[in-house]
Formats: sequence, C-alpha cells, structure tokens
Amino acid sequence: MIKHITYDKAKSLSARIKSPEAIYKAGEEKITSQRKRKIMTPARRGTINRATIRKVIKEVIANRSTSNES
Amino acid sequence: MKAEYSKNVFINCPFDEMYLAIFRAVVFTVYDCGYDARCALEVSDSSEVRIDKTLRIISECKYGINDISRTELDKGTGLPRFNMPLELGMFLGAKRFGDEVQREKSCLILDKEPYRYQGFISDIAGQDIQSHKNDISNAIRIVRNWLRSGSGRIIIPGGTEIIKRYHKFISELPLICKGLKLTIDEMTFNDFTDIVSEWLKQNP
Repeated sequence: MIKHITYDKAKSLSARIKSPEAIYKAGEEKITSQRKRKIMTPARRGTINRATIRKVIKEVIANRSTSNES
Repeated sequence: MKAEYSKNVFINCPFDEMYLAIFRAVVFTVYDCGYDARCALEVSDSSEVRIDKTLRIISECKYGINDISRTELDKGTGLPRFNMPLELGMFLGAKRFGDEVQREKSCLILDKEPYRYQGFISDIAGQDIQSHKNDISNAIRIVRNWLRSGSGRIIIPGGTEIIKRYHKFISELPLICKGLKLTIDEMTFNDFTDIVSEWLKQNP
C-alpha cells in the first residue's frame, strides 16, 4: 500500500516538472546558463570619448574579419 | 549606491611596469565577469588626500582583490614596500567594523608563492590566500573562480574562455590605441577600463 502511494506521488511530480529545454521553448523562463552576463560600463570616464572608442573597436573588428578571409 | 556597491571590485595591487601584465589581466577578468574594477588610479584629483581616496573607494566596493606579491625590500631604501598590506588591512577593518553593508565585503588575497605571507604578515593566516606564481593565466582563473563562488552568479564564463578572450583583446589593443591616436603608455586606467568594457560588449 505504501509502495503504491509513493509510486503515484512520483508520477504526479514527474508530470508537473518540465525539462529546462521545455521551459525555454515555452518561453516561460530562459535557461539560466544560457543568459549572458551584463558588461558593466565604468562609472568613471577616461580621457577619450566612449563613442570614439566604440567606433574604433568596430573598425578593428571589421578589419579582423577581412584579414581572416584573405 | 547599494546596487553599484555589489558590482564594484577594489583592486589593491602594485602599479609598476613588472606587474602591469597581471594587473591588466585582472582588470579584464573583472569586466568579463560582469563587474566594475576600481582602484586608486581612477582619480587624479590632487586635492584629495591619498589615504582618504583609498578609503572612499574601499567603502564603495563589496569585493576586494589584494595582491601582496610585491611586498619585498626596496633596492634603494632596503625597506619593505607595505602599501598593499596596509590597504588590505583597511579592507579587512571596513569589513570588521563597518555597518551592515560593509560587513558584506568579500576579499581575495593573492601572493606569488604559497605561504610566503607567513614571513611578513602572519596575522592573515586562516584567510584563503592564493598563489598566481606571477602567471597571467593563473591570475585570471583565480579571480574568475573567486568571483564565481563569491557572487553565486552562474553566468560567469569559464577561466579558459576568459584567457582566450584576453589574449585576443591584448593582440588588438595596439590597433585600438593607434585608432585612438594614443600610445599604450599614455593610456590612463580609466581609458583602459573604457576600452575593455566596450571591447567586451562587442565581443560577448
């Protein structure tokens, strides 16, 4: 009798628990390990405009892909 | 302040040329783990007394990385350089005697060899002191693992991934500096953190 109750409880739990993939597909919650950390913007500013830094880094990245192709 | 406090990492380390490679790797790791690196170099206001500046920054940081590997005799004076152990003491004091927020502090102590600290600062025995052996990859892994376990954040990338990204960043840094019409030597700490942060945002 006890064995029968335990079996039913487990069955009921397994029916309710979704796999992480199922949860992710359903859009209810993202899988935690697949979330990306947020990169902090320093609270203090340097001597160069951040927009300029961004532009230069984008150019370096663009050249990186060009040089990889050649 | 509370939100920033929990994302600020105070870096207490030497600022000499020989240590620069490890310093840059540690700063990069802090940003790659999603935190903001703070240190005494961030302020150039001469009107602020140095010790006040250090205490203020410590009070604004939940985490502290204290590298005591350069606590050694100065060739000129024959006396030990003790700024790093002093600032470590300030950090531990803030944690011990500060308010509720300050008591949340967590610190990492780094040295170049295991147990070397026992020869000059044995009172910190019992704390977890880790040895990077003057190696950049070791330093990155230690800082990453400490931030991962200390924060409980599971979205922090692995040490190998950070090392790989750091080498890529360092190989591109001269080009970035050239584009900014800046030599690497002219780069201030705040310039460096701005560049690291922007580079990581574009290389997630």
